[in-house]
Amino acid sequence: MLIRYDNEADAKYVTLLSENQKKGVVARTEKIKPWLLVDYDKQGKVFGVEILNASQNQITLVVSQNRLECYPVPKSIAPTKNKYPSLEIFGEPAEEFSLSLAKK
Amino acid sequence: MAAPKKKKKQVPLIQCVWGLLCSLSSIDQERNNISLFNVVDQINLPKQFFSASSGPKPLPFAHELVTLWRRTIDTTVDDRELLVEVEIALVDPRGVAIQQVLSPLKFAPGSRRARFRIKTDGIQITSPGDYIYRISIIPSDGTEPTVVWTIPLEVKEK
Repeated sequence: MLIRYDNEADAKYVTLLSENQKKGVVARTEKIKPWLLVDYDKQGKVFGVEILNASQNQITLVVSQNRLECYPVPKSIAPTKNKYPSLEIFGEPAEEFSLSLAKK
Repeated sequence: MAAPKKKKKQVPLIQCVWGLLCSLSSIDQERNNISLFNVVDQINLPKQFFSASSGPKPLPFAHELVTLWRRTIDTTVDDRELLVEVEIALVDPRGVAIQQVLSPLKFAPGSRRARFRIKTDGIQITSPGDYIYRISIIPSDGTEPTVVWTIPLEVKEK
């Protein structure tokens, strides 16, 4: 996974492939949410994810066997002073999206 | 001829102090201490598990990955909010990442350390051998991640 963050546009692009695998060209883009775009390559595989207004839309992505899932980042990440903040990713995927990475 | 300019390497703003796998962790709300139960570094599976069929198999192995992070620059010098992208990848014995988690880790102003816990109900395994949870910090400029911690997990046939 690689990330490119555009400070001016406040957008984050997550490529799911490593640099040497990144030969695919984006063939199709699906708008999952107004702020969440998923790019597919020619074979219909998920290529990357673009998060618009990224500072507001913080999510956790989980990529496993042919699945891409999204979890919300819990509010406990914003801690009180002098306490350990605790980021906990528990439970089921968030309602935002959960889609297949396999060929469509 | 002038030597090619080397790209400046970003110094990670946070550091992983420790990380391990356990069956369960519990935070004492009063004292804010964490207790870890059944720290795991090996799981034993019957031989039939792998001989049934080839390919990845779901293993119902409920566990938590618990890590502690700290700022590399002291808060007396730089107390700004930090937001770092952390990747946790489960790498199988062939070196293939079979599961990846990408999550932002935020240090609020004044916070010197942060805990990061992930609970999972199971993993996909491909073969017996040495698996690794590889924890990396991903730079925001599109460059390759920096591995900051690894947690071994041996899957053994018995």
